[in-house]
Amino acid sequence: MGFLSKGSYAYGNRSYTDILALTGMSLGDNVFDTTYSYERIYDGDNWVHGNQRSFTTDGGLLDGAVMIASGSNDNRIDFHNGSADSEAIIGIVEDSVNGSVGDVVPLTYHGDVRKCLVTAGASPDDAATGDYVQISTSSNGYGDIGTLAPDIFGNYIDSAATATGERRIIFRHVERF
Amino acid sequence: MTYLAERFKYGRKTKAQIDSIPTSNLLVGDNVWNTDINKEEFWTGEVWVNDDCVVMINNEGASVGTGILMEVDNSSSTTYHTRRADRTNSQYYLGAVYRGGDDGDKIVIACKGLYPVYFRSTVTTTTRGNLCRHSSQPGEVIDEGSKTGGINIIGVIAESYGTMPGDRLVNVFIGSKDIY
Amino acid sequence: MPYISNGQGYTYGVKTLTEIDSITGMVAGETVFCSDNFRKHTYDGDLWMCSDYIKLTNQSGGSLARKDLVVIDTGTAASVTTTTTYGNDLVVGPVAFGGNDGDPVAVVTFGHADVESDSGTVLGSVFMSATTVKKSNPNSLPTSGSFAIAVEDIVSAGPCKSIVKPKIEFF
Repeated sequence: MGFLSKGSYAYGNRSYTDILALTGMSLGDNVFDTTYSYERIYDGDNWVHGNQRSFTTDGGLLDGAVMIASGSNDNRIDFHNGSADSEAIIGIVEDSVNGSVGDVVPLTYHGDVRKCLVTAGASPDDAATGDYVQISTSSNGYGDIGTLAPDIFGNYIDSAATATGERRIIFRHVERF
Repeated sequence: MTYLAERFKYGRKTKAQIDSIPTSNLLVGDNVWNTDINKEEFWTGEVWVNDDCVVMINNEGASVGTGILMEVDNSSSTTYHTRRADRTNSQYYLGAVYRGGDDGDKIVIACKGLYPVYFRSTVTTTTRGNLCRHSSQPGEVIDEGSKTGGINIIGVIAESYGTMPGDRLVNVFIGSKDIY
Repeated sequence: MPYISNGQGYTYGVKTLTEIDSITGMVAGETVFCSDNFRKHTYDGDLWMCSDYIKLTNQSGGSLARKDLVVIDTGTAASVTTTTTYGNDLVVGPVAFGGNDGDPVAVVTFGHADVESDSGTVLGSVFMSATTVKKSNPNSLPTSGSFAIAVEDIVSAGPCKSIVKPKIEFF
């Protein structure tokens, strides 16, 4: 419960883990995520921050997956399917607690991405801080190491993967001349 | 449970409803939940803006409406001046109008996220998943016809139309790659 | 300390960035609406943060202040440093809220922000990293590593209003 506490967040200040465990939320409820320094608003489906929006996925759940616009349904998203999709990347699924095709998941489409699934060559640890990110051509929905080319969508800013093969990146669209 | 039944001063409204709120009642920082785009919006003192958008001044010489691509007007010396985007000036490109206005008005331009974009009158269909780009008509967009980028790409089409809507607005994931 | 202002729920009401700098005694979760960039800011215990910023550690060897341009530090995870490389492709953006070496800093990755231009600037110029540390250099044509576009004319070096773009440009 939040009673007009300092800053008037409905659920006050909570860790990211605690936020995902909350129940009984209403649309518009907000909380300050102390783990990642975001305001999160409950949009009716997910706790989203300012560079996220919820979309129905046609690709099921893969938290950290690299996504494109769905080719099957309007205004939905899907996993990328390899090199043919390399230039149409729109964001990364993050913070999803759902698991099936048709679920509504948060898509991060700019800025700090805490968990991008990557293959990064032989191992997710292969990418160094500052390396460019592109899609994996061997694993749908995954990222890899890139070079300055039309299909990169950001930079790695951590130095090694988490135990689940996730890397932190800055997601930014690029223009190549 | 939360005490404040409504987190947003002006509640939850569609964009049309938000734009109908009498501005004389508004204070800088007032907020509302935009149910069309599922985002919180804030009153700047002149316009409603969200985290995907920037605020500029229309210097087109005419009104600009939703979905028109805009660029920084480098022919002007007045701060924040913007005009219809010309594909030959891609370095000045900003995004698509979300809240338009008359010449001289503050307008709101979406630079990232999912927003309606204006497709040129020559476009008869769109295909979701395809890239889209500046057309030769300033401010207007065409379907690239593929997922592979070429010159002046501005985003990824999110909706397929066999017959274009009357307002010619199609949702686009703005901010995709742009290859010169 | 005000709890509610104008019925809007911001702890510190509506303020410019300079006014926000003057606020003291904040605690995590307190909020303010910034009238310079039209964003709700929340104090996270270290910095004032909003959706336009990314929080990274200053590894430049010195202090960083608002408008200083920073790039990804390839030697340290989740960190930024300064550069004297013209058009550095690893540019992140200008600092919004700075700090000393080793401290967290908030860096602008999108939206309305001032940069410190190293020369007079024409509206519409694109900025990239300059050969002078922490400064941004304006160009009339897009070049590699450009990250923002000037939205005002300035006659000589100094602060310049810009839009930090969600795109980085590469050659």
